[in-house]
Amino acid sequence: MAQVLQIDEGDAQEEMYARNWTDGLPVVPPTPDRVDAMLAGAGLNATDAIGEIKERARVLTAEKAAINAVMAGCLPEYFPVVVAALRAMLTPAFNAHTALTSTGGAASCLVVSGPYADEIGMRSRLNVLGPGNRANMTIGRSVRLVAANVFGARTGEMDGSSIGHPGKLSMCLAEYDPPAPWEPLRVELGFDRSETTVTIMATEGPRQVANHLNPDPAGVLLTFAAAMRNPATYCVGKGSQGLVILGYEHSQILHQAGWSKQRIREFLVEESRITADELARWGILKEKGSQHDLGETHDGKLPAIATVDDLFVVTAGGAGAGWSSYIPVWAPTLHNRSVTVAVELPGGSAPVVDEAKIAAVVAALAPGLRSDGADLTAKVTGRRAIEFTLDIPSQACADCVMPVRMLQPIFAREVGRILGSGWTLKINDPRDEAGHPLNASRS
Amino acid sequence: MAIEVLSPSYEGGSAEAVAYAPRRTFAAGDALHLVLIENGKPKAKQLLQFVGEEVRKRLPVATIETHSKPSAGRPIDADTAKMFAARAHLVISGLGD
Repeated sequence: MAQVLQIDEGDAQEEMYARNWTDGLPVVPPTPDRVDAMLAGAGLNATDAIGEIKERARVLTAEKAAINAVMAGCLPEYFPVVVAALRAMLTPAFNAHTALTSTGGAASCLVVSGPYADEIGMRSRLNVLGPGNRANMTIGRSVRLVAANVFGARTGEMDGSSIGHPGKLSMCLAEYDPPAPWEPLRVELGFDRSETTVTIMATEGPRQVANHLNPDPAGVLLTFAAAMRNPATYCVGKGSQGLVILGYEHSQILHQAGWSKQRIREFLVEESRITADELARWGILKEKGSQHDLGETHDGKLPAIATVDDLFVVTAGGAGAGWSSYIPVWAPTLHNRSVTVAVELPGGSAPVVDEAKIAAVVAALAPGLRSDGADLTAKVTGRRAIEFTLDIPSQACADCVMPVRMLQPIFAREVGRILGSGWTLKINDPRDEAGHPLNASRS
Repeated sequence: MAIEVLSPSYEGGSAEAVAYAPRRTFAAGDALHLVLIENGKPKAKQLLQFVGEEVRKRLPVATIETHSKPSAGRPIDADTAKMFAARAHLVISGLGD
């Protein structure tokens, strides 16, 4: 159990500075009652192990994680997200031993995807990478305080950052669910839509991508590619992972033009490749006989992103003139990979069910369907996840009921109005089922 | 007024000491095997090989073996360490950019 210290309340900040517990900003004193409340927020015991860095022979307990989360300013309901982020950070593929140490000065960038982000008030729209949101800022800060206080990732000890960047203080954003048929990050990575996940990436600072005038999807993406293949970025020519944050206007242009997220990834990975001559033009020499020697490629081009699966594309940010962001991972994939972990909530992912409200949603939506001879049922399938099923009894009716892509925004609006934000919804349509009698003679 | 706070720092004690491999003994005239472990950074191999040749001028080194780590960000695994401990009289490594 953690050492208990008596300090004078009036001198608490100075005392914590003197003990080198802070990141340079004031912290909340981690009193036992605050730490207990934090642990309760995730349903953890003080001695529960979160993970370890084997190379440093250090294990992180839930208590130490909770102490640092208190100091960062977290509310207890944020703690399940902090714990998921720390579990991700301590997964061997992330290689925290190096990611927290390197001269490259990587941040621990967190992408939170799923309904719990909304539930705790995380920001996914305006100023998504900027200051002002308590959940975003303090969740990201907690991870860095753990890195410093538990694993020694601070200047003068294990953090060898030559320059570093402001994201090392806190770098945490929420994704908003993109419009169908695009899937959110968690679903693309194989998690259930009703889950909430945290993806950790060890990143350089974000590059803002501005393109305000071009309505052409390829034109917009070429601007991203220009940011991604910048020779000054360490991994360009070596192959790393990367994060594309599609801002509102850019995502609209791409979505409305019918581009899939996979097509976006493929385009960007291809267009961000660069020749050794281009790198040399800007003073960068190709490594030979070292760990990053890629040899010769079929067309002489070298990758910025290792493979199509190594580029993550999320929707976040608010409407404006046409802004997005690209965030490169600081090291090639042979050293470090992003890791995604599901948030575990106390009590599991038991559905939050208010039957009266669910009935109210159906009552609001069903009349429009009944006028076309169809009907609707709904059930809660997960924590803040609802699944609708259309009942279409005849073929005549099948032709008049609106398709799911048109129903989706109507259903989403009513779900938001009656149940509140943060719900994910799915609509089952028998017309989409292969072999269903309704489809037997429909063209 | 005094308040109680909990320490956020690691308190699990020092990392367990790692046992050194047993020292290989050798007699005058023995041919020594030197292993260089380079971390994969640019020119690390050349730097260590230069050091190896300088050692050869001063000790009866018969053979020099260079091992290149696939990633500077990860240590060699236990099996590789055991192998070099068994066959080398002397190992030289280093870190840095």
